Amino acid sequence: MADAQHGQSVDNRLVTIPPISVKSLRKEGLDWFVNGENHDYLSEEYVQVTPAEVDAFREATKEVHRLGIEAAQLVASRNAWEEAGIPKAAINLVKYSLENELENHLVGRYDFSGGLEGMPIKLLEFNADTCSLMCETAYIQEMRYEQESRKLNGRPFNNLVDGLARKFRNILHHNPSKEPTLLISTLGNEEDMLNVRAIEKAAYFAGFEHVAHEVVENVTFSPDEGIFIEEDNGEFSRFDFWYKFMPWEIIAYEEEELWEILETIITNDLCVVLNPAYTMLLQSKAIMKFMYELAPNLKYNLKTSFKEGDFPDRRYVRKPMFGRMGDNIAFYDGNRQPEYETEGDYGDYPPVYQELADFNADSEEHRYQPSIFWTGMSSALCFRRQDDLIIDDDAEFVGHVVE
Amino acid sequence: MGQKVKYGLYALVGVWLLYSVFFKSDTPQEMTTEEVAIPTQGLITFVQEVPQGVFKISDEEVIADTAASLIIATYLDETKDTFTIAEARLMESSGGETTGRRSGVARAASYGLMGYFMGRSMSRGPSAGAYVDQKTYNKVSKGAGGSMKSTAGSRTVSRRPSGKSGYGGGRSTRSVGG
Repeated sequence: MADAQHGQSVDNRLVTIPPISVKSLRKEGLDWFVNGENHDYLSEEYVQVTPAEVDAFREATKEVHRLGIEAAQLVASRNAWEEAGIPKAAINLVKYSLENELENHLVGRYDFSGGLEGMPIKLLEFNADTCSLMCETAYIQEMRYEQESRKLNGRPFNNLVDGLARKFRNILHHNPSKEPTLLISTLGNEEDMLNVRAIEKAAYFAGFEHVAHEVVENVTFSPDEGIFIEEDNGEFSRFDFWYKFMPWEIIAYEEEELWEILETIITNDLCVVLNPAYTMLLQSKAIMKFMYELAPNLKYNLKTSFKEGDFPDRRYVRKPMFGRMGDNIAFYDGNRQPEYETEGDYGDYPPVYQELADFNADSEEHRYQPSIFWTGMSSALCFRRQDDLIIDDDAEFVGHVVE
Repeated sequence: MGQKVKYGLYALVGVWLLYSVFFKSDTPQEMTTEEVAIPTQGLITFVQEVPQGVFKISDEEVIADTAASLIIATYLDETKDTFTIAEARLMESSGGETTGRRSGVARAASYGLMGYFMGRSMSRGPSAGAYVDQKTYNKVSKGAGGSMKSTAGSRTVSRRPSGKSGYGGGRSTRSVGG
């Protein structure tokens, strides 16, 4: 998530449009995004972005992705696994994955700061494994644009489903002995189940013949035979591909037996698990320390370290290596005590320290955080904003058009 | 020479017998597999609450995209609700743990053609009692049901995997997206 400083105003970029039709959301089964505590999640404003700004985001994504892979290889060559947040029992599989499964990375989302009104683009983090916002970006942003296209010039940069389908085809091509059967699993959270819709649709577009859903709890993992679900009639369906919306670090730190079985399944080529295990390393915020070490002058990099003493001016954010939703982030702006700090579930992970970034903002003090979906290439753009120093679970989703 | 070959054969048989007794149980058994029919068309299932707490299917229509399949419920208070297949499967399997009427809708839909997407074999047709009346059941069976059967694909299923399940339970309260 994000740390924020004030930045160039984007007021002149905002177009206010009526709220999205709840009826049309309900028709598509997407009304969760406006119900209950989500009633103010979808912003009433759209951001106008220029083609040159989108090109700059794409270029940044390409560069930081290349550097991220190099940094992962640096971790491997130094055996710096534990420093990077990979526990001992997980090293073999992550290493195997990095050596053998580079092509199997389906999707991730890069979170940036800046990028509008000439403000430099900086990488905040890479949600490499289980990225959220796919449903909002692929469907809701698009539906709302269709509803209000007369008021909005241009179109959103949204090729997410096509990008996923292209990447799926690429993965099928690299795994020619596998049957095109895909199981999609979440842990059962409603938002996560909606989020993976884009994955399902793209899988069909890419030529998967059988796509099924089952929560992880009901999936059977066999070290000898692969990954199965039991049908109501007692039969078991086996899958050659498993898309798991369950973070690798949860498996590594909390479900060690499952990690062990998956290691056997993957290394014996019984199933292709997406995203592959090496994405745990890219997901770890520690990777940005190694990226900075490799390319301290790359314009997209923020100084990142394992030591707060590396920031003598005390201007930094402290983030847990595997934090999510803006949890457990502390924002320091020159003082011994943080200016702002969030609570959360991830405080037990070791911290990394990252230089403060500048954010574009509006006159209501919303900070804007742009994100690019990566599916082997840049596939879509989305924004979130919040009137706080840290963008977390209370952020609004903001649509955009490129004109 | 003949005697040597004979004793050699005895030795081989002996080794094989020992292997069978002591080691065979550790090797994976061959899975029993078979081809089963699966739908290649999607489906919209309309469910109505008639009367309170009782849910029946009022119509089912095929659509081209299986991924776009939905259950649309209309409740007595005239509010509507929409479920994807994944949500319906979760509602149905979680039984009383989720909102009563949502799991009731999912269960009702599972007895119709939507059951093909929720784990029921295509060899078992829909249940007439799941529909609002016999006329609706006949219409759906001939129309959407006939279309789904005539366009069905197939996949391989197994009857017995060795393995374990139950991982990741109790973690559905918060999103794990980042």
